[in-house]
Amino acid sequence: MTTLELKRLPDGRLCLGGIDDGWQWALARVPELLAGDQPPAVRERLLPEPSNNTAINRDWRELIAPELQALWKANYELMAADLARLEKDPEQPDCTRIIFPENHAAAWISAINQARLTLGARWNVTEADMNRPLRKLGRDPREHDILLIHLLASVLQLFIEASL
Amino acid sequence: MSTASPTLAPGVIETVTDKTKPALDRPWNVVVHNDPINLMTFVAMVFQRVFGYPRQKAERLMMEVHTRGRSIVWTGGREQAEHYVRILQQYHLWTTMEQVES
Repeated sequence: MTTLELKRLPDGRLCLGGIDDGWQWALARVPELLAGDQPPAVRERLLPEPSNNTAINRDWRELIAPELQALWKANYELMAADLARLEKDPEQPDCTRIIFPENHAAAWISAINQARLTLGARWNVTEADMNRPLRKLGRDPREHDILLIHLLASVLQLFIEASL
Repeated sequence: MSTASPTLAPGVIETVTDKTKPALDRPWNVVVHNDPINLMTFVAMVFQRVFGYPRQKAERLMMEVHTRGRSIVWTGGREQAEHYVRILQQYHLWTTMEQVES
């Protein structure tokens, strides 16, 4: 895979470039993973009950959880819309790039992180799994998705560095 | 909300006993728990953004989450604690709140 690059253009927009077929696949998985119903393990990880107080937890389930779910949905839909605007990268042959407004960065960060956590919860990924060298990852679907968690971490890191 | 006053004999001043007062007044801790997926840089960035903590403090709290499994990142009134839990969960940090023990 190529090295992704996230840079700020003179007009303030952000440009994610150097996207080869592998990266295109990894980025496209983000909104795919987040659309639709999630298994209980994912819901429990993303929306854990906040306390041991029954009233607080009830308000949480009725008011806050739906609000967060709507916000997260808007985030991954915005990322999906940006991904639909891939264009040829003039600086890197065989690669594409995406240019988007700076205020989309928060939505990308949210969606990428949510996709990583979703995969982690689906497969019950542990600290030990995450610390294994990438070359030791196997080829079954779980190992494949652990690799995707790492790939998306490198994209997320680009966005974190750009926003600090 | 009811506006009725409790019935008290004239000249009697109602006092709040020590048994009931602490439960109402005790502050709440906002607790962030470790998970194997969230990036350490991301967690520290969120603490800086949400609480306005300086980088050093944000990184110290992040390391506490990582090494001890949890960290109390803020303590105060219930309403504000609920607000912070909501914001931290919005960032996908595994966050709960618990009332400080008396």
